[in-house]
Amino acid sequence: MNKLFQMAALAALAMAVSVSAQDVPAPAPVKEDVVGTLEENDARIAIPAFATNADVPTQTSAGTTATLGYSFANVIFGNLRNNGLFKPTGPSALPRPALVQVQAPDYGGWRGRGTDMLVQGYVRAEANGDITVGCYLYDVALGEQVAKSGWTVPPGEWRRAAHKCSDMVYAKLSGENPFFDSRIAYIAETGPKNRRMKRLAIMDSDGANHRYLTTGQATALTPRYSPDYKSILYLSYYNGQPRIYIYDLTTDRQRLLLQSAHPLFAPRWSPDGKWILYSMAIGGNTDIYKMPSAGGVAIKLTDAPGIDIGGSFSPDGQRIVFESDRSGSQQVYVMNLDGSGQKRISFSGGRAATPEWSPRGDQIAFTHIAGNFRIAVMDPTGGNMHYLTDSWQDEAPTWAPNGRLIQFFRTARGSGQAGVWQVDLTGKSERKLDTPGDGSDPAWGPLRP
Amino acid sequence: MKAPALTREEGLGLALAGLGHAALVWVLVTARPPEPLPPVERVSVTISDELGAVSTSPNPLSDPAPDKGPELGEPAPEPEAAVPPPHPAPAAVKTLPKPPQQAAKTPAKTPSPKGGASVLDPNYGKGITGSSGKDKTPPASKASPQVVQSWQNSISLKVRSPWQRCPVSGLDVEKLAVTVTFTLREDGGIASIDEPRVSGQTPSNQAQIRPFKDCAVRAIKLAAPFVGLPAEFYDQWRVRELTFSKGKTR
Repeated sequence: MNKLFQMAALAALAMAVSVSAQDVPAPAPVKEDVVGTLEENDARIAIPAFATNADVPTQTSAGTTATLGYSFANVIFGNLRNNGLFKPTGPSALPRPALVQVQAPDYGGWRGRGTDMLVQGYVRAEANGDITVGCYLYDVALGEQVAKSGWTVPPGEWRRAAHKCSDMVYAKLSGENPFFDSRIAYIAETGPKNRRMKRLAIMDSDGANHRYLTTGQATALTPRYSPDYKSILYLSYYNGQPRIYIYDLTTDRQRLLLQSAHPLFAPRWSPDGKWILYSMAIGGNTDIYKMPSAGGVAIKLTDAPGIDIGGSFSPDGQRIVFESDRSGSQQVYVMNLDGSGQKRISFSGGRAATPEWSPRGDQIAFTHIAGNFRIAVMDPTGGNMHYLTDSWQDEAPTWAPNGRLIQFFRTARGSGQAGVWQVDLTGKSERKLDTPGDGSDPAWGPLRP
Repeated sequence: MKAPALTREEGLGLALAGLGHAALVWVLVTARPPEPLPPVERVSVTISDELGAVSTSPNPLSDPAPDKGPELGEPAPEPEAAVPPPHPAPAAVKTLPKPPQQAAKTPAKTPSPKGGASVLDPNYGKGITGSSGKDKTPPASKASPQVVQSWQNSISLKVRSPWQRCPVSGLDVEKLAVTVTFTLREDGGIASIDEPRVSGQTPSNQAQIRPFKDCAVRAIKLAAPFVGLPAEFYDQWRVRELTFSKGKTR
């Protein structure tokens, strides 16, 4: 009886609740879709010359603080212009704000120019010659400050501060990790086809601060930056003798890691810098080995008949992606760190070569060969392959530190001229990097420490 | 009792049947499942089945005027519009200049309203006989579904422009969708915006989620206030839910 009473009370309560809910009906929201198109990305960013407290000479290559402020904005303008996300306007077409306006922008004036975002800042020369730079990002449409940062750099590294400022803007607006403050190693090529000189060279991510590291007496190939940026691993052929060197960038000296009578290929660092992968051909059978980067005994990771070549570590260092022709044609395979669990992942027709694991781990870039050579990406299981380029011969992809852009080298049909190119992961924003001569085998280093 | 032995034909038939079953089982076991259908691509659709607040069916009490036959030939000129009244109202005398005396005396001759010649029977021009109605524009007194839809769309249309200028790009970003529910005040300003909800995440578009959300909220803030929305339908536009996405043009 008591139970019955409880049930009746509960039912009455439920009815009361439902009645009171009906008394104040919450209006159902009207639902609609707002669909934009990726092809029309056009966030308008204004980057006026950076202001200065006093126009005084500096020890930088850019001149006085006023001209440095202009050059600074110009470097940021070049960086943001080249990645397809923004529609920037540079300092040549904009008024330079006064120092007091750097932290209190004239929003109304910028809105009148149709600006969405504003990147501005100041440059100040310190007594010891260093340069202090302040960088501010404003949402002009909303009238809010979005981000700010500042750096004091030696005069010779003023461009790094501009790259840091570009990185701040890029990371804040795109959500991706930064990448502008990074360097690129590549093989600079000069001379006629039959006596081609191939030198190791390095440059900033925008092509500035270009420097040759080797003289060209020996042929340099397939460079790779160490994870700590202190050295470059590369392959050298001198009188037909292959050697793997580690070039120390702080001392400009190099250390011989491996010399062999057998052909060597494609040396690569492990993500922790402790191991080196390389391939060696003995009697028509090429296999992948690993050895400590300090030198020591090599361990053979593959032993399939045919050519196993060109390993690249996953960012967690637990797996290796490589190329093998054991199935009859070049395809992409993965294996564990000790060589176990070898498994083919590319099944998209044609051949697949030079795989490189993205530093983010979600993609593998490779050269797809089906007539032409094209740069393509797929996920680590081999699915969702898509092309990024469509030219006659594009090969040897290398990842930007944020895993969202790829560099490769393109050889022109006929002339055979090679150049270093860049493309983003959607296949857009393809552009050629400015190098003094021809270039091949690019290797994008990590973000600078 | 001993079972009768199978004849040769029976044995052969049994063997064939056994083989056939074995083949069927093998086919069923090894047959590959059909390829999954490709995912349906998202398209933008405007659904116009929303009803207006009040019926917009034709007014049953309307009293339509009879149709009349067309008039052919040159239309008669309109009477001159700028003819002032011969005796302006006293209140207007203070502000209006005095009209010319002559115009006050002799208003312009009003031409006959008759048109040009007609090839039709004159009776046709008189229209249907027996109809005494005077309504020339039967009223649709309330907002039609299309009209309601148009002011509802005015919100999403206004949001689209700032959304378009959001710099989102990257792998699988076209798979992302962010749904934002927000409440408007009666003056069209924003009362509140709920935390955006995300769908379509993949390992490759994780980094895009934050700017995607930020951009969607920013687009709503920039588009507000939504002025000109009918106050009498406030309950219909008080709470909105917009789903933002960026697709590749095809």
